[in-house]
Order: sequence, then C-alpha cells, then structure tokens
Amino acid sequence: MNDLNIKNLQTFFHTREEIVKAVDGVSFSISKGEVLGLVGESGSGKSVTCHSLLNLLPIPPAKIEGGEIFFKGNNLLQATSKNMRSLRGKSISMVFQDPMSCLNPYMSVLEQVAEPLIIHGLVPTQKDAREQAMEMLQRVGVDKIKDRENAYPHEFSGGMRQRAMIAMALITKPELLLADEPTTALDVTVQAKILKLLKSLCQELRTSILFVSHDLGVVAEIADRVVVMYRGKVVEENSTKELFTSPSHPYVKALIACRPTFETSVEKLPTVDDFMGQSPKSTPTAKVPISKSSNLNSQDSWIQVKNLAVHFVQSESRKVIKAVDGVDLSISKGKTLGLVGESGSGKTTLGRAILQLTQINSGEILWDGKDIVKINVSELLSFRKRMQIIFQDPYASLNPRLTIEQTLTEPMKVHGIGGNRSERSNLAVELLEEVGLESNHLKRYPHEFSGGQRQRICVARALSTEPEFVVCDECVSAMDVSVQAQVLNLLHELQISRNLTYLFISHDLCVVRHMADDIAVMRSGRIEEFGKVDEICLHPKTSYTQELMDSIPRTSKTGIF
Amino acid sequence: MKSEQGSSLAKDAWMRLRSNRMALLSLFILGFILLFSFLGPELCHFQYDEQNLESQFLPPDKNHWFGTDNLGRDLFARTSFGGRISLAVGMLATLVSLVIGVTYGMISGYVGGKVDAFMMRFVDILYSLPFTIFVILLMVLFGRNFYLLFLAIGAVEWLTMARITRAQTLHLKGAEFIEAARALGFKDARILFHHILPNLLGPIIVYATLTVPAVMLLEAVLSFLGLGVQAPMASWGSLIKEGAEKMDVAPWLLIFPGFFFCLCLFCLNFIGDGLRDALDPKSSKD
Repeated sequence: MNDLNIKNLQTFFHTREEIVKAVDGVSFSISKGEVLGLVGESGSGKSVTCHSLLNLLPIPPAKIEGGEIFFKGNNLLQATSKNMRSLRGKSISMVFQDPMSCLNPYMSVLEQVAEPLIIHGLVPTQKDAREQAMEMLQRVGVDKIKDRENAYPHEFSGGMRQRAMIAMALITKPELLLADEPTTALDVTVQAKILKLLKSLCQELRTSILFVSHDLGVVAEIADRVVVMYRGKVVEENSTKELFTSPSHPYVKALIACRPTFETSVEKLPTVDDFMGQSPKSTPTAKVPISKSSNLNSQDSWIQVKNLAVHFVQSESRKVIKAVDGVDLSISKGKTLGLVGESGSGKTTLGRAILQLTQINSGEILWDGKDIVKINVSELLSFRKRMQIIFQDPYASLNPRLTIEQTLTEPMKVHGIGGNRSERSNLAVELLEEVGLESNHLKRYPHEFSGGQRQRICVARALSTEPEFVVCDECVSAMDVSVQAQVLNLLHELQISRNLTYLFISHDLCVVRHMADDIAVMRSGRIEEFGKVDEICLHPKTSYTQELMDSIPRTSKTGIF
Repeated sequence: MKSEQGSSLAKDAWMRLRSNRMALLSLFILGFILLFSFLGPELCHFQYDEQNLESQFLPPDKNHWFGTDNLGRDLFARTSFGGRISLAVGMLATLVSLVIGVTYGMISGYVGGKVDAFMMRFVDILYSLPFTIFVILLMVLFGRNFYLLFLAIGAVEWLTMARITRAQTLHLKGAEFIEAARALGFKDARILFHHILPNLLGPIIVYATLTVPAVMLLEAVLSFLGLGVQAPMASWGSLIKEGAEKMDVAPWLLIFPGFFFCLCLFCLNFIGDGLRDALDPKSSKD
C-alpha cells in the first residue's frame, strides 16, 4: 500500500519572459515506513516537488499545471485550503534546511514544539502539550531542555535547533515527513548524529520520509530507495544499493563519480560534461591514485605562523572569545595546506588573520622571514597584492554594481599592473579565458552568471593582482558536486600553471583530502593535529580527528563500493 | 578614474531609464513645469504682485487665465512665479541634505565604533531641537534672508538621510565583496565611494524623491508662520494655503496651484522609481 503516490506532476513558473518547467512530469511513490531519497543539483526541481506536495508554492508565479498527488487515496491537488491546513503539520510535516531561520526567535523552543499539538487539537490542555513536547525534545536529544523550559532558539546551537525542528515535525506522529536538505547547513559530526536520529525515530513511529538532498553520500546513508532528478525530470529511480553499484543514466554516473572520495585521490575530477557528452574531446578519467608529495619536513617553509591569537570581546557580556588561541603553522611554497574543522572552530578567523583582515592580538606571521604583522598601513596595502582570498558565497562576494571588467581591472589599476585602460582590459580577457569564461562576459554584471561562473570570476579577481598565496575560504562548500568538481579542477590547474600556494579552508574532509598536501585539523581555536595529508587521513592520532573521519557519509561504509 | 567608471554606469542607467515610459513621460512633464515656472511670468501681461481691487475673485477667463485672488492679482502669474520658489527650495534643499547626509552617514557607518557613536549622538541632539524655534533662532541671528530658508530646511532634512545611509552602510560593510575589496588592498576612500556608495543609490534616491515634497510642505509651513516667503512673493505652498481658506468663494485659487504641486510630486515619484531601477544593473535591460 503506497502512502504517497505522485503521478506526472507538472509545476511551471510563469515569468515575464518564459515559462520555466521546474517540475516536468515527475512520478514516484513512497510506501509506508520507507525512506525515499530525492537527489538532484540546485535547480533540478527537487524542492519544488517537495513544496508542491504541501501546496506551499508561491502562486503566482508558480502553477501546478497537471498531474495527481495521492496521499492515502485523496488527491491533494483538489483538496481545499482548509483540508490542506489540517493535513500540514499533522499527517505530513516538514523539516527545512536552515535551522537558524526556521524557528521563531520570539517564542520559546518548548512552546514552538508544542504548537502543532494545540493547533490540530490533539491534546486537551496546554499543559499536556507542553509535557508531550518536553518528552519529544528529550527523545530527539535536546538534552538541556529540562532545566531551561523557557529557552529561546538563539540559546541553542545549530544542531540542537535542527533537533528541535525534527521534534516539532514528529510530535504529531505524522505519516509522512518531508525533509528538505535537513543536514546541509550542519557540520559533519552533527549531520551524522541527525541522520541516525531521523532514521531510528521514523522506524519507531512508522513514518515515511521523503529526504531531499543534493548530496548522494548523505542519501546513501539514510535512504532505502533513490530518485534522481535532472532539469525537472526523473532520470533514474532505483534501490539505493542498485543505484550506486550499477547506475544506468550517464548523469547519475557523473554524480557518483565527480565527488571526491575519501579513499582514493585523483589528479582531475571527472565532471558532468564528461559523462553527458557535451565536451566530446575529454573522456571520463579513471580514478587513479596519485601519491601526494609533501615537503613539510624540508627547510623551506615559506609562510610561518607563530603563536597567533585572535580574541573577540562580546559587546554585551564583555566576555572574551578566543577564536584563534595560539596557533603555529607553516606553509610551503607551491603547496596546499588544508585547514579542517567544524563551524566555530576558528578556521575562517585564522585565514583572515593570516591575510591581516582582522586585528590579531599576539603572534607573528612570517613571509620569507619578514613579519607582516609589524609593517605599516601603506606597506600592507601594497603587500596585499601578493595574497588574496576566495570566499564561500560567490553571490555575496562580487559587487553587484560593477561589470566584470570593472571588477577585474580595478585591482590592476590600484597595484599598477598594465599600463593603460585597454592593456588592463586585455589582461582581464586573458584572466577570464584562464578561468574558463569568455571575453564577451566582460561587459556583463554579476547577476547574469550562475553560481559556478561567479566563483570563476572570484578566482579571476583574486588572480588579477598576480598573487603568490591564496586563501580559499570554503570556496566550494555552497556548490553542487558537479560544479564543485569543475572549480576544484580549475584551482588545481591554476596552482600548477602559476605556482600558487593555497590555504584551503573547508569543513569537508573529502574535498580537503583531494586538494591538500598537508592538513591542519582545528578545534576551538587550536590546532589539534598537523601533518601530511595521507598520514593524518589514514592514521589519525587524536580521537577528535578520528571522529571527524568517521562522520563522513560515504558509500563504502554501507558496503556498496 | 571616477569619471571613466561613472560614465559607463551612467550610460547603462540612461539606456534603462529611456525604456521606462512612465519615468520618461514624468521627465517631460517636469520639464514643462520648469518651463512654465521660468517663462510663465514673461508670457503673462500681469505682474505677480500687481493688485487690482476692481477685479477681485474673477473666475478664469480670456484675460485672467487662472482667475484672480482677493486682491485682484492674476493667479497665472502668481502660480508660475510660485513654482520658481517652490522648485528651487525643494530641489536645492534636498541636494544640500543629500550631500551632507550621505557623506556623514557613510563615514559614521564605515568607521564605526566610538566615532560612529559620537556622530550619531550629535544627530540625535539635532533631532531633538524643535524645528520652528531653530528657524526663529536663525532668523534672529542672521536676519530674514531667502537663502536662510535653504539652510534651515537642509539642516533638518539631512538627519534622516544620514541615519538611512548609516544603517545601509553598516549592513554593506559586512558584505563579502567589501571584504574582498579590502583584501585587494584598496584604500578606504576608494571602498567608500566606489564600492559602497553605488550600492546605496537605491534607498537614497527613493528617500530623496520623498524629501522634495516634504521640503516644499515645510516651506509652506514656514511661509504661513511668516518665516519664509513673504507676500507679495508667492510659493505653491503659500498659494495653496490661501486657496484653502477661500475654497468656497473661489475654488480656482486652490485648484491651480494644487494641480501643479501634485503633478510635480507625481512626476518626482515616477522619476525616482525609474532612476532606482535604472541604476540597478539587476533590473532587466530592455
């Protein structure tokens, strides 16, 4: 007996210029107690499918053009809005991606978790609702709730908030749970715990899950069956094991291949284009293990960080937060140092401190033996030419009011590269071609590009000052795996052609393992472990590093590879 | 540097503005109102202060196109002459408040910390001064002067502009592209005027188009209190004031200056909207 049955669903967005077929003839079903993974990259229509189910789409511009959604025999598309409201949160509930913004900051967590019970009239009194909510919160592992009944969302960490969201979704014992990228915004260790929790709770309550994610690794951990979407259509549907062992559609093959894995490392990651035959010249590269060289022990450590400390003072409580607390590091010329850690471990602050973008409290940063902490402001401005940064969010890191040409030529002008305007313009074209864009992109504005293209522009801007050292701060974390593979390949090629040195900051151990020669593991402002990439990944010395490694969702753990 | 970057932003903006019909029509009408204000008195055979007690409260006719008022003065002449003063006060005082407010707010927000606190407390103090008393004080100190009007109104209007600009700057300061600019080794002045200012244009322009009518109204209030434009001089504000009092006897006294005043405000709003969209590269190009 199928709990949910979607037949030929079509959801289109009507914009002024065109009709975007976000979901174009999607059919699948979920049986009772099953976990179905819905996978696809951003824009593939997976979230729109999910929102169509609960009629949560913005109408207009969205419009459901056709199809049927049967939930326990009723067609949801013909349900009145009153009927839908009684279904939402009671029989079908939803967990959203961002736990930071999905809870009402003006209501205590307990009250919010109890709210669905009261709204749907499932309990006689407020007191009962609160008691049940308390019980549920303890079950999902929000442990400290007993002493703090009136705690507000800001008093909880991201992981705890996501647990509270899950408690809120499951408190009415729904038959179907829609989970829209519920762990994407969380650290790997937290993600592993949340996945485990979701799975065991749903088995207990006999709840089916539609688990939406862009990450095949995560889906492999939790789902029984997987549906892969590409450009609004379902391209493959199979049991999780079958899908990973023998994918039939080239896109699915590409998705599986283009993610860097923890076990093997390759020179160049395959991309979706390789598989979809859009660039016939290149053939899918086989995964060949390469040996990483590290000259950590050799004498020429080029940038040396000694006993670096960055403290922030909280404005209200006057509490001192030691974001970076006595860090020693060394980076060799032409190599990549990977910096891993969970959110809040101080890795981003460390990256910014090395670039002198935040005030540091004590310590030295030596470049070829020269301490750049002590140089004066004007010297620092010219020194910035040699070190650059690429940020996580390519949408926020480009000035929306400047054309690409202006963005790329301005740093050249400031640092005296290129004699005149046309010369700089030519240099900008060369840069664009170097990062895989075209010269006719020069006159456009950032919003005309996709996320991956924007990140290429950010790379080009960082290269415009001809730097020697580049900090990549989570620069592929917000991207789809296919785009991520392209950007990682680009960074790798540039490192070789320009002899760049990278500080590669990421929370994703697989990506760091792929990119880095040396690794530093960071935790609460200190370096937990520092050494060659293979050594640390294969034989971690501290228990924390071990825990990080174990939390990586990987297909091999489930015995698929 | 500024000019070559500015020209391309301005060129793009002009291309986009041209495709916005309402804004273009509004520009045209505003141009017509300007012409009317500056050439009107020449076309008319009456002077704005020419009294004729035999032709009181005449409705519009061939001779007096807009009718006459209680002293028999020609309303066409007075309306067009009043336009000069209203437009001049409105535009100039807004410009003054824009320049002071935006610079002040940007610096306060960008520098932050103690400087910000000090600069904003100063704004708070000025906010708390009663406006009319402030103007009377100025009049007492410097004597009655037409230019004092610009100064007084500008001195009040820039405060809100400074606050809006500061809040936006604080928000932008944390953006990654500003941090990227710092990482690229740009000087603070370049970041402020080249990276932050263009991103402030949207809210600034919208607020400026709201300031122009507010200033015109303030001028009317001051004129009514005897602190602004004095009879026989006229502005739209003072004409509307007079017209409202004699509405039941001679409705045209209210209708004509009111019509021009409203038309002007409508046009400014449409132009403001158009400019905001035109200066935003995200809005579609055609």
